[in-house]
Amino acid sequence: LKVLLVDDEEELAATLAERLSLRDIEADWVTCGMDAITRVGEDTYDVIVLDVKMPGMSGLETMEKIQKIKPEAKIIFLTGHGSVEDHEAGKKAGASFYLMKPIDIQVLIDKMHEAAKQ
Amino acid sequence: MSLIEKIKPAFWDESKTTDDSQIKLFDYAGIWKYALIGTSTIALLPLIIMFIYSHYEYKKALKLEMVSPISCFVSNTRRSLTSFLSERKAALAFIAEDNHLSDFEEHRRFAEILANLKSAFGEFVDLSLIDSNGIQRAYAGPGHLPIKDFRDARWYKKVNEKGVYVGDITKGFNGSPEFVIAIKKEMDDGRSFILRASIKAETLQDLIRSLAVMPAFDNFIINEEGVLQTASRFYGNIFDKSNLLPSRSSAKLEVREYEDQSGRSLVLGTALIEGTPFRFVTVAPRDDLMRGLNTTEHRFVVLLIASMVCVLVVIVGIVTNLVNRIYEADKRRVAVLHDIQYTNKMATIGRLSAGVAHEINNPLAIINEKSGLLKDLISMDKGLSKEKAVGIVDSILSSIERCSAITHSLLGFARHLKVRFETIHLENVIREVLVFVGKESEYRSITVEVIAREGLIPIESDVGQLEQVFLNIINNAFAAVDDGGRIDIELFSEDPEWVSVSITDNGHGISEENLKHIFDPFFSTKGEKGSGLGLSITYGIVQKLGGKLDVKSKKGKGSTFTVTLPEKRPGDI
Repeated sequence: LKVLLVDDEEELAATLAERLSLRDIEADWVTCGMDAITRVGEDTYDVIVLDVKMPGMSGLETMEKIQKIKPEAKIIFLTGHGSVEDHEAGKKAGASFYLMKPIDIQVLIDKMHEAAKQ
Repeated sequence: MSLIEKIKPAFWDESKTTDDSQIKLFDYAGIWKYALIGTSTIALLPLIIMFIYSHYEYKKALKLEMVSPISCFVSNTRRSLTSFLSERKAALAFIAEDNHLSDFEEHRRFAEILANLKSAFGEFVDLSLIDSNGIQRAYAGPGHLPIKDFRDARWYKKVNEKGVYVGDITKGFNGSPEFVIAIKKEMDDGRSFILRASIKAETLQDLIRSLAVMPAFDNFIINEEGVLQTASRFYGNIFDKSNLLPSRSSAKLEVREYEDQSGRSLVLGTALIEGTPFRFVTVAPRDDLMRGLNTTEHRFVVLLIASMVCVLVVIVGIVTNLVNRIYEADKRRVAVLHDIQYTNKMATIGRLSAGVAHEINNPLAIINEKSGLLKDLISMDKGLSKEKAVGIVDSILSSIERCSAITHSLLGFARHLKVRFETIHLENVIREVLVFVGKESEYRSITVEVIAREGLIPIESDVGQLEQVFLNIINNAFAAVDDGGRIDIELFSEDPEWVSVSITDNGHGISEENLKHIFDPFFSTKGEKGSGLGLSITYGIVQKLGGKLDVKSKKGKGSTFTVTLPEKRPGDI
């Protein structure tokens, strides 16, 4: 499984990537939407984990742009901002899951596998 | 409980300010007083004017009513007295005409004439004959026949001048009062003589008494000097000098009111008996005349007072009832405002909670991952170095610090739910409020700049309410600007006792039409997202704190909301 983590919290993205690597999951990480789009264009990922609130380009905008390049991309939102409206918007836009921070790593890995199979 | 406590309306002692919300009720006791005075004036003024007018008219009629019988009585009495005296004068004139001078000089004949007069009229006392030289030539009566020379007598001159004379009442032979009637007879041969008769004055008294119609009236005769010619009940006996000196110029009948020396209110009627020194006087106490008439007036006054009291009672009832209803409605209004304000504050907190959750969840997620990594490295035995472990723990501690900063801010905001005045620096309040929107500005690349001008004084105000005010305005500014927009917050003081905060955004602005309504309750341009209460409540709070809220806006250019607050709390200004 190869995943891309997109979160403006650098520490979070890096640590999560490290923990996934410890579980034999190849994880790259970036801290903004623009970088994410670039990476997606360069490489192929089974699952992309997106933060919703990010400076510059939001998670939803980033997803739209990714879907244009890779319509088959599987996207999971992982956010600390838990409003019902955002949840609905994320699902509607075609995200596989909408998850809340903080999250148990095993739950996240299960959801990644599940999303990758979809 | 006293009677006053029982009937006192509920609104009377209502405090003008409710406990802590400072939502003001109206001054009901004041409204009640104004309404009562206004309504009573409108209702009672015509009644009072009508009463005064009727009273005036009534008094006029009353005076006529009082004057008329006296005037009538005086006139009748004068006619009777004139007629009485004319009869006596006519009798003397007839005797002078009917007899020759030589007849009078015969004593027996002269005595016979007096006897005839006495038998015809009764009251003749004596009779004298005076020749043209003023010498008394004949006398019949109780006295002797002294040769008297009347040439220098005043009465003699007068009778020569006018042909007839009626004299004052004087004391006669035996001390009883008498008056004199004298007439002059011109004979064909150019000579003349005078017939002079003394008449008992008591006949005048009897005549007046017989004419009296009202027992309360005092009727008498005075002469030109005010000396009583007949006895008076009020002014003394015959020959006493009365202090009554009716105006001499008025020969006509006169009725007037006056007050005597003892302060008694009297009505006086007088009439001069023409050709005599006599003036008939009748005096009546005013109270006696007015007795019946005054009773009517008293009844009228009692009726007026009773109707005024009735009108007042009804007005007090109606006004109290109306004010009570307004009071009840106002109490409900205050209760609703309380609820709305509380709900608005809770809604603001609710809106914030999603953002706050994000702010806390992010560091929590870092803690989660860092501690998870620590556990992974230990459990998987991946050779955890000391430096790495310290780095992970430091990261955890810094995330915990981030969380606690957020929770502290939130607690500070919640703590200010209760109204409390304290000395504050507005810049601190603004900075506290900005904590809640810090991340949003970051995500949306909105520049928020706070500029505090020099010389800002601390003010006495309520932090909790001010936080709500600024949060509402700043939230609106965030809603108005696009991502990448700009919000400038400037603190300045144009007046030594006031501090202003202007919040300027370069957002969509407000149309002129909407600008008129933005402080109206339930007016919203946000559709379902807005309650339409935010700015209305904000406006209300600023006013309550003694401040002002101004807004300037241009569609497409942005808006500036300026809150100006007093240095002292509203009650102290």
